[in-house]
Amino acid sequence: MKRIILAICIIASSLSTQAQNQIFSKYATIDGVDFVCINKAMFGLGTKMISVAGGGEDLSKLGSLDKMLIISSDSDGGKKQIDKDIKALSTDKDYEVLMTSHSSGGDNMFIFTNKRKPHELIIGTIEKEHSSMIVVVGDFSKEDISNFLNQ
Amino acid sequence: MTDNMTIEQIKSLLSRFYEGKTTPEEERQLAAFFRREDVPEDLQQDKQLFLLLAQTSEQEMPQDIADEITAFVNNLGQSDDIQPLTHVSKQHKGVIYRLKTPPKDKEFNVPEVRTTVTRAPHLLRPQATGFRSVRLNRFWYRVAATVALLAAIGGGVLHHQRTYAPDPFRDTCATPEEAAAQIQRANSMIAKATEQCMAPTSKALQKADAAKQLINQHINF
Repeated sequence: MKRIILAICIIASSLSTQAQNQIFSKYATIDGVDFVCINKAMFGLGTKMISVAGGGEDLSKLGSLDKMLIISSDSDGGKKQIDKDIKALSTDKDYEVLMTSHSSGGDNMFIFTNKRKPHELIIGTIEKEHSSMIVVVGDFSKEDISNFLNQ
Repeated sequence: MTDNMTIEQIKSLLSRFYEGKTTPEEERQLAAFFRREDVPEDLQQDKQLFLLLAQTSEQEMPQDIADEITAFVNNLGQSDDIQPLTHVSKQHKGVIYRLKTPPKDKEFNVPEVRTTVTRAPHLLRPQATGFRSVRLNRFWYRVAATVALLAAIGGGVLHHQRTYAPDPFRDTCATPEEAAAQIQRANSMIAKATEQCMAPTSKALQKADAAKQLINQHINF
């Protein structure tokens, strides 16, 4: 009996780790969702192009970024899934809500980060006909995030 | 020393004896106690068992009988119908076996039949130690097998995911220009979100500034 419980615990913990990654990766295959993934190298090239063109480079000020995801949807199914995940993350005990805004027009904004190790910054937007999530993954501190949001 | 021992101490010693944890000195104390006439009623069965064990260990056993008993005991350990109940003593290397299902024969109208097998220490110590270590080994073999099975399943799943499942986090932008456009889009979305989140704070700060100016005007006036 003890062995069965131990086995279930090991499998459950590995599945929960997998599930955490699947929060964002599942959008790569959902129809009606615009899923953009920019990895470190491409991000460096992109920000270089923006700075050469004289544009702002806000995100690069955050620190060393590994990955950026832009997930957005106008379709019913995709929007519902994004809304659900944003609400789930805002109540997740591993995430800390840094800022929220609820406007009278029904637009809701959420900015949250990991509680223990702030290597993910998530900006979630729920609008009437459109929802989006920007996930920035990298090596940055809480101070970096604070400076970035107050710039 | 035995005379000074209370019944509770004897019972405690007895339970340690059944667990095989007593020292030869403690077993001598128990033997001295059980040889007395005034042993309480609830310890009479233990007295019989203990004296039987003590008597057996003191007798010299012929080699052919010892071999026969060794074979019998080893067969008991492998039988499905009989399970070891407890080791009796480290000194005597005894094992009490219990029949898992009582025999249907009418002669045995008791719910549980116990067979006590004792081994003369000078004859059977190696086999007794081996029997116990085999049981321990079986447990660790099972643990090792469970861990190996889980590791194999986990490794297989991970290997399958890495080999066959497409990486969901591969670059979706083919060119740096495309990436630059997406980064600018993200920048504007973040700017909009932070602006909207900070708007109430900005308004409050503006009101506070206005109030401060008004107060200063009144003070200067």
